[in-house]
Amino acid sequence: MKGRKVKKINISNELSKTLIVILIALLAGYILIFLTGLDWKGGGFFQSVRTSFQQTGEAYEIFLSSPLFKLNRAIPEFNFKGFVQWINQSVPIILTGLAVSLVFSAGIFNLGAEGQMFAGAVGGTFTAILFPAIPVIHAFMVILTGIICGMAVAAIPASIKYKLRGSEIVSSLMMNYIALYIGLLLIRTFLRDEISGALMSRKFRETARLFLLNERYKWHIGIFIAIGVTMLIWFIMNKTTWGYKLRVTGANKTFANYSGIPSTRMVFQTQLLSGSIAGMAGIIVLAGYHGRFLWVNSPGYGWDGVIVALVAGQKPLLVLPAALFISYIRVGATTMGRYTEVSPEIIAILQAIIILLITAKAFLANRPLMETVRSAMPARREDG
Amino acid sequence: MENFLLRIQDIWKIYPNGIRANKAVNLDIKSGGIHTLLGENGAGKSTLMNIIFGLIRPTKGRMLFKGESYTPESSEDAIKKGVGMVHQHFRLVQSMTALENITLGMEPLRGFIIDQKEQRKMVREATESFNLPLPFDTRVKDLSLSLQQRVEIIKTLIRKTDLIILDEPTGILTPQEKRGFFHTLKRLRQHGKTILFITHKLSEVKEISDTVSIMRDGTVKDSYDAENIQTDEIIESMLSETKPSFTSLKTNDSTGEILLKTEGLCYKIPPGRNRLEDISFSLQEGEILGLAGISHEGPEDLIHLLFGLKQPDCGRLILNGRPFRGLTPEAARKAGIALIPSDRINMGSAIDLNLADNLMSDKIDRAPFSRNGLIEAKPVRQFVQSIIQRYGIAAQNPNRSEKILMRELSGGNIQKAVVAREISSDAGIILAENPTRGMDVSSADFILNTLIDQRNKGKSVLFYSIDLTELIRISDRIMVLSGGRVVGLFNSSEGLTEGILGRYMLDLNGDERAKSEKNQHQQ
Amino acid sequence: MADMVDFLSTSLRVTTPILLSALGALIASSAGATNIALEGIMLFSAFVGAVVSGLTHSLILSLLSAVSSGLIMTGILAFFSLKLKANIIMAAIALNIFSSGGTIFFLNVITGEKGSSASIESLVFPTLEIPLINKIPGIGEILSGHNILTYFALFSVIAVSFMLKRTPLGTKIRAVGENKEAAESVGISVRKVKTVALLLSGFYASLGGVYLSMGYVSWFSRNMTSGRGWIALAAQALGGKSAYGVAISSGVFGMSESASYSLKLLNIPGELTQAFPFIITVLMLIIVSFKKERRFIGNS
Repeated sequence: MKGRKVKKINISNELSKTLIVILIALLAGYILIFLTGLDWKGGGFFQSVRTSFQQTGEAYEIFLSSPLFKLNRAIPEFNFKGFVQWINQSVPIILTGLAVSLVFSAGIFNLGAEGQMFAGAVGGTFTAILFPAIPVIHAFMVILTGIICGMAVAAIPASIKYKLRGSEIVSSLMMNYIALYIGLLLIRTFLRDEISGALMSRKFRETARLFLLNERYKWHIGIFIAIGVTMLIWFIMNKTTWGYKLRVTGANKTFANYSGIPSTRMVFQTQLLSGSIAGMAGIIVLAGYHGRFLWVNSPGYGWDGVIVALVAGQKPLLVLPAALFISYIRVGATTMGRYTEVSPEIIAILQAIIILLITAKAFLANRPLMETVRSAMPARREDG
Repeated sequence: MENFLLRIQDIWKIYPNGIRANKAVNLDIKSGGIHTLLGENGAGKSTLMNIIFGLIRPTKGRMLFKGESYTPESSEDAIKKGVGMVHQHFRLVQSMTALENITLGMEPLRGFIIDQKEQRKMVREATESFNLPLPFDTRVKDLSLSLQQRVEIIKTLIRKTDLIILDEPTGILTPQEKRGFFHTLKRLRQHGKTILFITHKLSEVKEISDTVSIMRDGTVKDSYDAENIQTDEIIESMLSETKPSFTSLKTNDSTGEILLKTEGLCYKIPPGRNRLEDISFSLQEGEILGLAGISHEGPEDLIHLLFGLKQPDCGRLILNGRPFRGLTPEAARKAGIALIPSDRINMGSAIDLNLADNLMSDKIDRAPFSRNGLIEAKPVRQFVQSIIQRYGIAAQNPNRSEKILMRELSGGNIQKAVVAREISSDAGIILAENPTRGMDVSSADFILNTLIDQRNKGKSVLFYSIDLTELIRISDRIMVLSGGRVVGLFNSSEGLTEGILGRYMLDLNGDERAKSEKNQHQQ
Repeated sequence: MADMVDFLSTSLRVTTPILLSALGALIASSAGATNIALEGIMLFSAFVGAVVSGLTHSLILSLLSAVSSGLIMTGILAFFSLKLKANIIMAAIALNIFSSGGTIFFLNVITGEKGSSASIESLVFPTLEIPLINKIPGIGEILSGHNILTYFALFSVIAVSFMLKRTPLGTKIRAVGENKEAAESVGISVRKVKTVALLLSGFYASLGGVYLSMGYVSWFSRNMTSGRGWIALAAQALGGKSAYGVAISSGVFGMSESASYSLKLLNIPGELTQAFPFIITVLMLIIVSFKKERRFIGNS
């Protein structure tokens, strides 16, 4: 690694590192299930190991195949229901994944996707219940409200950073909880369903619901909206001057300013755009699948968006497969949880491993990247 | 046989991208004296100091301290062996008191808490024995710069160092403080300390040194004993550089239309000191105005003021006939100013992006590269290709040239890309900060020729270089800054030599400086 | 009057976990290493403490294992961010996600339940009556009879403040946090100091978590931290650099949580009191940033 052969970072290297990380995570999950499946109490050691192997194998089979395949009298056939679940559950995290990728691309840490998503869902719920029942327009207005509310919530940390140069990490994290509690308050106060026992809103009007591709399993068109937004963001990032300036700002703020690119303004606008996309994520799930607002806690799509953004390397086109992957293993895990004793929360452990390994720059590199670059450049100021 | 405290033998420091910061450095430092190291920015002084202090590992060579092999792995190592350093930019914790800073990392303990009485006693002993009184309990951020410097000095003394390295210590001192500082150095010498004093100011050299060594281009050129110091020799040593002869391709002379004018510009740095004072000059179209001066004493700040990276504290900036307030790089570029910055890595490029992205960053909004916010890919690609061809960037890799990541390019190619981008922006005024530094001869020539070419096309170039030969060769007029003021403005480079310019630059006449400082205090 | 006494006593009780974690956050941020994994560490330690105490019936063992789990988690945070150059915020998010799912997963493995660990009999840390003080009317009821962890938390305020100001470790932590180069120039290992600071923050966060599952109640239930780790972060952001400041802001938040119980009677919605700490933090951030901006513009 001497002379000019500084470590090459092109797409295939990043991609292979990501794939290796995913494999490691899946392996770790396997080992974990195996270890916890061992019968510590009774039976001989080898018998215990054999049984656990078998059980783990079965569990992993269900885990990895159930979204697509199911056994119909020992013959694998296409699992349409699982497929629909998989696609439906990808939708919100495609959108939050895009939202988080945007802010990461600008080099900032606005972690408010969760709160922006929640606010969008709450706002959209109001429109879904109270807005006049005009077909198509109604659904459109519902999503639009989501966009606006998400953007509004993002505007707060964005403004604090833009006008006052205050840290966006703290303010965006706080906004998550502010949006959560105020959102719940609004739903409970104005739109609560008096009849049902649990805390949920009244049903959305029919016209607010998204078109269903399949009635039985409630496969909604959210996926097409998500794909559309993905293409839009890809276009913006790669084909517009605004996207170009965003990438430059994220790569080197000093260079951006020097080149005449108003970096603080770019950062502000990016956060607003990100908030508007996150704002769509939640309400689409509610309008598409559930038909009413029924969360009593924050569903966590915003945090999933962080993982998706990391796995996708912040590239819009890769967000789709990354989100589909995360959603796939989640659906698989849920099914696994139903048929075995393994609880689906194991997914959280896999996610944690993935985040840790991907974000570790020095992992799977011959030398820590930043150190490689830094030692290659002589000190600048004290250059005498 | 002299008693040498530190012997540096054949030290080299070569960075992975090929830059040679130190080349075959040989230096012997006698015990118990004040040894001055003289050199301009880029000469390799700081690199050498950092090697001596254990912050950087040399590529090859060896050092002997007190006769034994000396290979510090860290600054802690260096301190333990007896080498201390006071950096140019102080390494002090602002919110802590002078006392706390001095004993940082070596607080005396009573059990597991700090023994405050003993702590105070330690420091008092040090300040009294060297006669350097300090207000112990004042927070460093409330101390004057010269007192902060004193804290740094006590910090090294209390760790029982024998060799004390001072990196450009006088930059922040008033003439009065400087006198006191020199007294301190002499006292330290009396106590048997050895001082390695780094500066670029010739006047200080004569006043304080026992021995002088000159550094240039990463190596030690000459060493003299104090008695034998000849000013002219030193200037020669420091500044001149024999380059192959350079034929100037200058054509017609300037028509005289003024593109940029400054009136009484000044720029202050905390705590209220004037970095630049009363700068008034103009840039005409079709000329190269050379700028000479010590980089961190004015020229760089001036260029940054003209580009909107810093704001003047007084005076006016007039662009194309109209006064301009609150200039930003965005506005500067729109007004037709381009900048080739000295920091090509952190400011001049985005190393994580590719070459094409780097070449377009200032012009993406212009036709034909974009229309209504949408990028026109073909014109962009054609433009980038033509630039790469014309400037010969990354010539060895013709196919994927434009997609190459900046970080994969050599230093020389990066600089070519920076120059290419700025010149291709078709600006009327080009500000160039040391554009050829660190480049091989043919690339440097190419860049100088490019600047001349622009001049011939009627552009205005403000060319700052620490290489006075270059400056004289291609400039139409030359302005010299010293101590933040314009001390000389030559309307032609005829008959100018490096020596003449050097005298103006190097603050030979310390009185000039003292006079102007006195005026400043009276205002 | 009795209500007031009740209120203050409850406040002190409720402040405990927040204060403990906030002190941890203070130590970490003083060294310049932001630890936003407090929520996850608290949750996991709460889980480990309750389960181990149920299995071993030993208070010491459960305390030790809970604290160890907190130290291991922060150790991972330190290792990944300092050695492997991971972004410390991302690594902390990973730990939080791990905790939220991992606690349920392991709870299920050990007890077969997924909601709470109530099926196993866990222990509770003892409460302490302070002699003499508990005889004073009013004040006695407020101050005496609390869990020993509460008293430890109060003691820690003084201890942490003292540590930061008067011990060499504390001085090193503050130096590293404020000016890395200054610390390095005297041979202090920035990485070592940050690691120690992080471990201490993990220690305190795990105590905060243990209090939740073994201080007042004797079980672990899913997501029982309910954002207290984030409130602790907010308390530290408000309290600034001093342990006493952090204690005051933690107390304010504790009082607001305590108030939410009584305010329900006044028809002030619970969600508002729950949102209160976060709203206050954002407002303070705006005010502080505003002041800084003014000063900056004034100077240039």
